[in-house]
Amino acid sequence: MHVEHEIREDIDIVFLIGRIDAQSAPGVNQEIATVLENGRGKMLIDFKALEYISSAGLRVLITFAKKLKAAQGSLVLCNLNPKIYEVFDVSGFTAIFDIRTTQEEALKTLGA
Amino acid sequence: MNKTLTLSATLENLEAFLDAVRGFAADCGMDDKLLHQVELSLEEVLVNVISYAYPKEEQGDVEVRCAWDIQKGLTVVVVDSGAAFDPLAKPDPDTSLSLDERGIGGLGIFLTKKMMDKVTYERCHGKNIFTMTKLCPEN
Repeated sequence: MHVEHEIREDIDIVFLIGRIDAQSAPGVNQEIATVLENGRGKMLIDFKALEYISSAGLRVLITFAKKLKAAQGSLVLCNLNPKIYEVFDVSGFTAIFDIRTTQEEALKTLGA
Repeated sequence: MNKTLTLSATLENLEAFLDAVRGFAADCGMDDKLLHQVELSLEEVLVNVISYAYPKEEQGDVEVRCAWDIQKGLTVVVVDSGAAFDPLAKPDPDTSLSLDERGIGGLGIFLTKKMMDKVTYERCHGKNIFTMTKLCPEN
């Protein structure tokens, strides 16, 4: 599991690559925390290369969603595959996260 | 067809358990979508055992048994000898809450309950026995 990061205008694009399970979640948490610390409050998380996420990963995401909201920032997710989308849906996360189909759409939402 | 794997209940062994069950279920012809649901469900059960079954200073084992039956589909049983713990006793999280109202945790076993067709828990001879079943539509 690893995380890649790109900056486009004032948006932090985070790519999740591989699998987030209970073992890899703490590392992902750390990497996103670093991006958040150095960023300007607009984050896009691209799930294109993510195969799997368990509740440990969902915990990480909701933690950052709350932090960004508290700081008047924005978080948009994109490219969730159907299996991952189902996990979000069952968890009620499709109602509390801004989820877009494509990165382009997600960037537009963040004002790019 | 069946398979059993027993390893110590540590996070480092999580992948080995998931691989073993995924491989077994795939060999039984389970499709990708169902495989994913089984794997996720198993992780959540195992993480509970790893986190809570044994005190930190003690190493304890967890046994995962899987069996395939044409009528019942896939059955996965997770057995540990740790403290009595019924994961099904916990109330489900309220998934209709807003971001502000939502707690950070509490999703683990809820996902298992949603993704598997049947889940049961029993305490027997000092062991926690969690059984889950996934039916396969083509049966």
